[in-house]
Amino acid sequence: MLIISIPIFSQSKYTLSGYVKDAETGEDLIGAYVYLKNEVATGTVTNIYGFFSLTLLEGNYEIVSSYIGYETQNKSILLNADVRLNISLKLGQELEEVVIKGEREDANVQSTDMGRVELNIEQIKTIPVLFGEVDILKAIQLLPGVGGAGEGNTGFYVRGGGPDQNLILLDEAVVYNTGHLFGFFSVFNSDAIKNVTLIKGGMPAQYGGRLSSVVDVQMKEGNNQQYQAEGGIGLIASRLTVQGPIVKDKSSFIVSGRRTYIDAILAPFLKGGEFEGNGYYFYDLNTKVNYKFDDNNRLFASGYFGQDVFNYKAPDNTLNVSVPWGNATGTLRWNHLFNDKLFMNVSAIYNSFDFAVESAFQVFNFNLYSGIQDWNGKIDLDYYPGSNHNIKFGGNYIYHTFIPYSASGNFDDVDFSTDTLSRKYAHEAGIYIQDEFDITDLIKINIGIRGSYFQQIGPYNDIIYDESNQQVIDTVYYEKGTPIADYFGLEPRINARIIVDNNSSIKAGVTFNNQYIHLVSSSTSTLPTDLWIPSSKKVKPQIGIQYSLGYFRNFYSNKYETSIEVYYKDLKNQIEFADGYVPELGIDIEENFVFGRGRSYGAEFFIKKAKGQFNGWIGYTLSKTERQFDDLQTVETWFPTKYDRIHDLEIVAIYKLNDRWDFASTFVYATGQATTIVESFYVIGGQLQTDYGPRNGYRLPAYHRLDLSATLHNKPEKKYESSWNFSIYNVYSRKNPYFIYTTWEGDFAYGSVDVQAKQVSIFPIIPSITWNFKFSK
Amino acid sequence: MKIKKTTNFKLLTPTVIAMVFVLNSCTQDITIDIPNPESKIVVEGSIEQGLPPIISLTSTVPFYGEVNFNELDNYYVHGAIVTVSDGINTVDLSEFCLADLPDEIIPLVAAFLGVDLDTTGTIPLNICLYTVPDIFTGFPAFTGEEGKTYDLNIQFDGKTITSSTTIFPPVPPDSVYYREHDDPENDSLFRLYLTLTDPAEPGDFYRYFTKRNSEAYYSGFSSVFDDNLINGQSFDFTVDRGFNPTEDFEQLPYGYFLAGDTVILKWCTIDYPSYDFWRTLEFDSGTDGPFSSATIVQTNITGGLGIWCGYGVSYDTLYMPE
Repeated sequence: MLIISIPIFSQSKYTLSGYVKDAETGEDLIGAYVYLKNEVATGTVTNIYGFFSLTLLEGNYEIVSSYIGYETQNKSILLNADVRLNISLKLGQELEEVVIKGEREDANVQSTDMGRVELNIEQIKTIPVLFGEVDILKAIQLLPGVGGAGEGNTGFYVRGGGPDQNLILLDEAVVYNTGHLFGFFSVFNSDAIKNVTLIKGGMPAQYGGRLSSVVDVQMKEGNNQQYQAEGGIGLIASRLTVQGPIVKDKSSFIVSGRRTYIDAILAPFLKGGEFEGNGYYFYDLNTKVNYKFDDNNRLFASGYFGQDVFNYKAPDNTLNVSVPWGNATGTLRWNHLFNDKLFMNVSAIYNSFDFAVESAFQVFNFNLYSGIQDWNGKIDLDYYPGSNHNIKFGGNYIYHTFIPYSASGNFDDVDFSTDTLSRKYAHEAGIYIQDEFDITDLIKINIGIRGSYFQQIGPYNDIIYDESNQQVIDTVYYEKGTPIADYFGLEPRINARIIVDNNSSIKAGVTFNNQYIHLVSSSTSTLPTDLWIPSSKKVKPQIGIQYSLGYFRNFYSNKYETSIEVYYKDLKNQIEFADGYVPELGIDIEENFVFGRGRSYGAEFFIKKAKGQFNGWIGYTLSKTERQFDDLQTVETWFPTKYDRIHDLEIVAIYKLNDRWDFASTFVYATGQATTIVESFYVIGGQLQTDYGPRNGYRLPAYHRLDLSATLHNKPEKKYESSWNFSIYNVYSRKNPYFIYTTWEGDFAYGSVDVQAKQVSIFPIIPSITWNFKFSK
Repeated sequence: MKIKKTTNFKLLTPTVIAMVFVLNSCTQDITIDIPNPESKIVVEGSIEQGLPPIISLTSTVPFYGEVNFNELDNYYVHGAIVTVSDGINTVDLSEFCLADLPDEIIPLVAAFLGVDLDTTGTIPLNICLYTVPDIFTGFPAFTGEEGKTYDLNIQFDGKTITSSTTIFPPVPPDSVYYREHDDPENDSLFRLYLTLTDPAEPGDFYRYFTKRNSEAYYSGFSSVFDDNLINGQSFDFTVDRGFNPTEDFEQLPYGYFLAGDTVILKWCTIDYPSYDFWRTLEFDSGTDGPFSSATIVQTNITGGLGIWCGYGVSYDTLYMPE
């Protein structure tokens, strides 16, 4: 018998790829959706360079592209070969369809990203903030699970993690200090920012080095169609951004600057008073330039420079203090498309944070310096093989230089200085691979693994102490490059999304994270004197495992988005200062640490009205964060960390009256900070001494605040836009505690000792007016 | 005795920063409402070679609100059972209160303790101490000896409080001398200097006292030292004049002696737990605010607060010029 085989005509697959951009400015849109009409599950998102890739069977398709704040676009495509499709989206008419979050209407239900929030800069601008300045980091703190560090503190806490557990990136460069004037202003000038992504749970494998969260901030590239100048003039600070094409469609630049002049304004008022001689200013400068060589190659160079300077000169010249601190970052990036399915980015980054104190007090001169510097190289690849897989892999290497307190000076006729041998050097590296794909129609999974490595190297002078009496036994000098201590971590990351029905889904995830560098702060507030230190022989890497589970549901055709998320974090190798810690220069600060474990758990409730003239959200978090250290006098007892905020409530309401007026208000409430206070007096040597109560056993008064704002827009003209923003910060002038202290005075023998506790607050009610403008040419 | 919070110059810089950063701020009085903390027993005890142990037992007092020491009957702990042992011999200590002593002895004891008697010779505040019963014979049987370890045991109100300390061999200074103040305007102020050769083995800790004319022995604000930087070496350094807590603090004369003073330097060796106690106690007295940390004083008393310190003493006399 003859068997005749009949060739079966098989369908080929082709790739549709390209960039999604803003039609007016040419900016790449990050996280824009590109999907098949009527088959929403077959689709993808653009990466951080605006690139997407979809592999489909040969045929005719209706491709839909959508992005927050923009008009959705449809395009018919005949796919019978690989097609390069660049999509330009126009800004949407804002009134009816204002969507605060969710590029695709049900994105919060559909995506696997639990704990991931994309924030578009235009939406952040409607939220009222301090002094009329738009602030990304303050906006993030209005989301559940993210708590502010309190009045006057830089940094924020994500799911009970400390401020050093947040990986904050600006165009891929790590930003170590994110606040001006103790966090009253963030270092991010929103005019230069395009997009902010917050990941508070389910951190994907491409990010590493921090336990709690990622805040990935992307700068604008610069309008490559036309010149544009925008800015604002306010009571406290002003800003100006200029951007435009260098070669239209190919190359553009953006320069953005901001400065306060609060020192110049206040100086005449302070003269003759007790605050005379205080001066403070900060500035930020963001610069970026990009060049598109061809369809497959682009180069970006960006830089950020910012500094705060506080100075004080006593009227009688007895005291002179200058305290400058700030960040500088520089990034060079090369995008390369190997083919329609493989996208690569290579980055070279330098970033640093420096802090200095220069002071002269009578016969005492004192200079203190600390900082951290990184040289960083990264390769990231996006691979879209088809069949709905989205694979990312790559590697990252950082060379760190840590400068702990280096001091010099003289007191009377005694000179002193600490060695530069106190500097520390380390290699940090990571490689990762992750894949996101559908296991079944209903279950999508994002699975990845990250391998990380950390090594402290010389030159370093290691002083070895006898544990029993803290006396020096030996010193070992390590030559340059010699390994001192190393650590290796394997960090699996798994997240899954299970569709329950058309409007709801369940998401679950487990992630392992290692953190090799740590921010230590001995005081109850965060200060620029806080120190970044590496892992070493004594200091082991922090290790965290986070379990999270969430239920997401939309109502009324995605008009309301709701979610409930619960999480549990198990933390090892947490660092605290020993009970008997006394700051001393010249001694490695890690000698004062004790180590223990931590845990943090909570539930986040979120409801958002996403559409309509009136919209906003309510977020409430109930949580606990605590630690247990054998080597503290608390021993077996779990004590709350200073990041513990049992209740955290945010209410944001935005009302767009018409084309010209919009109003917004925010209300925040948080349980007071846990702190250690004095409990008793006793007498030693004829002098009163104080005995402290349990560690973090006392709660400061709760923090709550209401802000209001109103914005009046001019009638939009083709080349000119302007608006007046009126805002009131802390409308009912709540005196939120910054710190408390005690004073006492008295006559031990004859009478009584009178004790008074006092609370210092910083910001009462503050109204402000800002005029914003935007010119295009 | 006037008691006031004192400044610790070790913390100058952060304190300075703290002061100047309080810009545009608002300070208000608040009430701290906490339940009365459990009262703890505070031990202030010492033993040195040639002298018997002397222990003061007091209680802690709640911090918030008004505190009147005169009204607090239980400020001194009366009727505790206190024993000291050197491993072989144990002695039971008796309680003596200044007010109950025979009149002739009061001025002597007051001077020893540094209590200022007012013009009528009566004491402003009662002082009670526990010490060996035969102390007033002038030749007590149980006194400290170099090299021995002394265990303290206190029983009171169903609680047991213990501690242990060692008297290390004294390390007398090679010499003591003075130096005039740098500023010619203050040429009647003098600082006390000493030359010390630290023993070769690391792990030596020191505490000092100064006695000026007929005053009692007092310590300066930084009264303890370790040998980390000077181990095995000869070193010259200066110490502040001990501060009398009954006086007001004034910045310029602090630490200096006056022309014509007769000064006795009591230079002592102590053990590490005692060193750690004074180190943390003296730091904590000087700081408060958001830019400070709560330094927990490292007591060597188990079951209470305070210190039980053995001293290996040496005395040197120096006469400041006229």
